[in-house]
Amino acid sequence: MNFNSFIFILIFSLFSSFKIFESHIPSHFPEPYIPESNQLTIERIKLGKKLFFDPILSRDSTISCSTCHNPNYAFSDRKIKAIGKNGTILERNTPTLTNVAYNKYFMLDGVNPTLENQALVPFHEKNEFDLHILIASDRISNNADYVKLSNLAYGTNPNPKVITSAIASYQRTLISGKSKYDQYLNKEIELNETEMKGKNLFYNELHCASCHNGFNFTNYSLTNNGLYKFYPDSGRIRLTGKNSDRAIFKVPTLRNIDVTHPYMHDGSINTLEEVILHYMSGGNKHENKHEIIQPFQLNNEEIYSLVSFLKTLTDSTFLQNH
Amino acid sequence: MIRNLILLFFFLNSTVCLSQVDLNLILNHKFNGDPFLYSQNYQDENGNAINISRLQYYISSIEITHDSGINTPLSSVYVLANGNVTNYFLGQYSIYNIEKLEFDLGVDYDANHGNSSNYSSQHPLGPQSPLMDWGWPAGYFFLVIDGTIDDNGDGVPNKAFQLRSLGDIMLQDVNYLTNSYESINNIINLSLDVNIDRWLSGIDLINAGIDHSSSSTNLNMCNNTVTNQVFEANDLSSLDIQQNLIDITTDYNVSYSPTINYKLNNNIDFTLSIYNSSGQIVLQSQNIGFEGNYFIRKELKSGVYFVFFNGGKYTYKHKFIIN
Ligand code: HEC
Repeated sequence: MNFNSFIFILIFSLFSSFKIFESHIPSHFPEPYIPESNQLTIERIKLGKKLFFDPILSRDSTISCSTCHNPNYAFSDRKIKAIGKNGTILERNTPTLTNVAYNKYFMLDGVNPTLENQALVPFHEKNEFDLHILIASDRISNNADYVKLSNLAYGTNPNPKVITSAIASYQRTLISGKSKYDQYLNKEIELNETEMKGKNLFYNELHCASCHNGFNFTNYSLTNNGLYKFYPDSGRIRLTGKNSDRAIFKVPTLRNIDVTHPYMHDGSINTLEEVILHYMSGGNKHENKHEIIQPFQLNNEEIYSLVSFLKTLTDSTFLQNH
Repeated sequence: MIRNLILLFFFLNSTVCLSQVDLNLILNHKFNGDPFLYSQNYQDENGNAINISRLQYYISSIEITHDSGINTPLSSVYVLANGNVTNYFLGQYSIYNIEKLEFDLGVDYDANHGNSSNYSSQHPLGPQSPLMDWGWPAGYFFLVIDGTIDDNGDGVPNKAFQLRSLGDIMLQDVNYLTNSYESINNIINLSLDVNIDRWLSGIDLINAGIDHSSSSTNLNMCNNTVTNQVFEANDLSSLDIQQNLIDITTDYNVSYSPTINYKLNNNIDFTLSIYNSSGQIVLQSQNIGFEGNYFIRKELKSGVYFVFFNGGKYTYKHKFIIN
């Protein structure tokens, strides 16, 4: 047992028998929120994982959740915008699922309230699974393995609720907290001088940590970082009709940021250096741009240090273990 | 004195017994005052030919004022109304004479931020086909009007529009219906005219396009519910007009598994059978009533299919094609 992290042993009662699920939540992480109605069990996670990687859920059986949320890229896809069914280009960049259990809302514009709800999105989208959830559940019901797993996990044959709940359960286990930076925080290793300089820039000299803060490098707010003057993707306003919601996007986690390029909601920035150049410019004028986003100067060495620090947020065990 | 007490006893008793009634909502969909059919073209307010292929909306938070001011909220009732369906059963209640009807167009905040997969497919808030919930914001379409409009004066409506309103701000409180409805044979029919053309008043349908959002166009359409009084109490006599107008259409929103919208002879129970072009039966379903929206819920291969509706001496045939 890693003495730097608690092992939470969570005991769940299900069908009058007890199941034990061990979750390695790093000691410097809070406990994730898990809804009362969908507590984690080994069976639920197993069912969700099977569904996550199974193309049976797409209309033409060619894509699964993992097509875009590829574990090797911290559950993103290295594409500017996601590629859906029949090679169609989707509207946005695939977000990472790193520590998604802690998110308070889903979709890049934060309009979706739970992981269980979010799991319905690809079914509905014509260019993603494009499979009616009732037909998806009929497909799964014709598969003996799934019927067995579904009964073990939720005590019922497959149905839409089983599908969305199980996929959510699996995603709640995607916890990443063993990066080089975490090891440094836990006093297991030292950061080198460049990384320490970058850390200082990130936390003390620049404004980065006013948005990308906390254990998951996000304050979970929705804001505008001045990417454009005019956004082709108007974001949250499509749902609320409020001008203050135009082109505001979730502050994303920066964990595993080195592997989840390209960046931003539309994948328009390729490298971390270019992201920093964007922030140095102070961004484009936009009515909803956060006031803290203002121009600043860095020399090449400082840019290099900041990038080096961001690279310490890569958790290789997370990339390999799923 | 004793006699009065006995009378009082009978009076109280009779009000209790009398008052368990079947409460029905009757929605007479109309376009420019004519009975509405999916298979028919109409004219919009600018004189352009228009066809509506899908009209669906939620009615919820129904509140009934009855029997001298008693208020009964039907809080657990959600109605998913469809353009070709007239009759909706709301439940049994202790009501004799209704004085006021109030409801929302749309669904309440909690339901709208819930999860459709938590309900069965029979429940109006459960997974529907075509879909009434939209995954991206995890909310319901409060009002959907899809169709085609003539944009070049040739009298043929062929420019598509889809107005599907999303978001809590679309909710409309319909609170102006103060007509009275009385129980007859323990049935109360809350009969309303639903004037579809009034929803579309002032909407630029030619340029509306595909709009699944909280846009100002969708908001204007929803606001028309109250400002233009889309819902009107019905004087019942006009019910007769709607009798025996047959309307069968295919909804291809789920292209490989369409939904068949049907409105057939009143009060006859039909059986639906679907055959492929080689005459093999694909599915059969009994007791489908005389009006409804039948989701095939099967992944059909491309080809031509025939739907037969059989009920008593009536048979109707309808063709659809899967590409
Ligand atoms: C005002 C809040 C705010 C501040 C301050 C801020 N960011 Fe961001 N950051 C955001 C938002 C919002 C996004 C997402 C924008 C989008 O998707 O269009 C983002 C995106 C990013 C991304 C891309 C993440 C991804 O997965 O696509 C990186 C990298 C990043 N920021 C680094 C930084 C650095 C380094 C700093 C300091 C120089 C900084 N940010 C300062 C709000 C902020």
